[in-house]
Amino acid sequence: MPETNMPAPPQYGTRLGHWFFYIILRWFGPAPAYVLLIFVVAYYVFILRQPRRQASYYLRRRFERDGSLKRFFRTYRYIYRFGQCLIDQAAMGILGRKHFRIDFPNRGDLYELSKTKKGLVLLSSHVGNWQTAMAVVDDMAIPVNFMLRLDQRSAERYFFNLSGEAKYINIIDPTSFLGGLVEATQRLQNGECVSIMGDRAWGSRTEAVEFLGAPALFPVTPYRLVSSTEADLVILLTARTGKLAFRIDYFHFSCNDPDCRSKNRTEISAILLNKYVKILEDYVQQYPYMWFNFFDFWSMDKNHSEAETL
Amino acid sequence: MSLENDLKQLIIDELKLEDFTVDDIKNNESLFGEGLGLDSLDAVELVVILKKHYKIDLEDMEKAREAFTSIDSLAAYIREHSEVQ
Repeated sequence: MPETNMPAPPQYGTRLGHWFFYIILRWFGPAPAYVLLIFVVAYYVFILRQPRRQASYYLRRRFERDGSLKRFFRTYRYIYRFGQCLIDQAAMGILGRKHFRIDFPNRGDLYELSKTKKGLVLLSSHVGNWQTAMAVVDDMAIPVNFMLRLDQRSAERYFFNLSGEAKYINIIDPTSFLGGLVEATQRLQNGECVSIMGDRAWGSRTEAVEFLGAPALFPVTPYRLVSSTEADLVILLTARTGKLAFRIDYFHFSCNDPDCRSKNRTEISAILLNKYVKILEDYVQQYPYMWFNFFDFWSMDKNHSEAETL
Repeated sequence: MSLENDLKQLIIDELKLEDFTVDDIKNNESLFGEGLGLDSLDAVELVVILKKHYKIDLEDMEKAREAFTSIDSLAAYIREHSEVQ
């Protein structure tokens, strides 16, 4: 059986550049790194075409009335925010979470839910500093399995290397056997938590849902995991609310919710997907520069999209 | 009905393979990709079937990979690991 191939997410910067930021963060903290970022982002936005193109998939939908000049400056602001969040996420791993303020009003709800050991799909998105949402590992009474690929150059590596209780964290590689879904399903059946991204396709199927005024292809895998195993679904969205400060919003759904009762697996999956997309759309309306997804969700070339993802 | 045929019927029912009958699925046919043509989302249902009907947990992913090759290999895995047959 062939291994699945995933596209690499956009990677900006060289190994030397990552090392340089690492040293700055380690010795001086995030503030000088933010200043350096002003110039680094200028290079990417003014000189290179690819970052502008990748940012435009989202920006032209979110700000459809923008002219060229306005979009150019929005692109700068958007990529600067992206860089800032990458710095934050690396800093959180390098410096420790005690330097950050994380406002998570539903911390107790999540803990109580995890204690039921029904299985829990924790749905994250590429918003704000989404790794902050992963800091909830310590708030769970069950092991958390992250479906993600740890790139050797990425800031996520620092996060996972240097934070969290190792005994509670397992990484499921989505490029492994059947996209890691056999293992993910088993973990849910064991009553554990599986964390997965809702805005990047895992598995081979996507569905079109209206998003920012046009149909966009979203993965159905998280909702099929929920509907098949009858696990709970928790959506976490993180927003950067200030210097070293984040807020995590929490939404909980279950197959026993009134609108899901007496529905079959496919129908439940569709209901949950639509709820997620609505929540994500509300989020990007409120925080327009914090959804960091550089793929063309609105391309209706399903074969291309699914081949590109898994 | 043999375990193999039980499995085929469960797969047809749970995965809603409405155009298939038990006789359409060969025991040694590949379940994923070429062959029966299942995909990774169908694998989710297969794991649920193993738990629900045979009380089997798949803790070793290497053995799971071998088990998910064909109906024959899946049946062999069930015979080895389940008390419910």
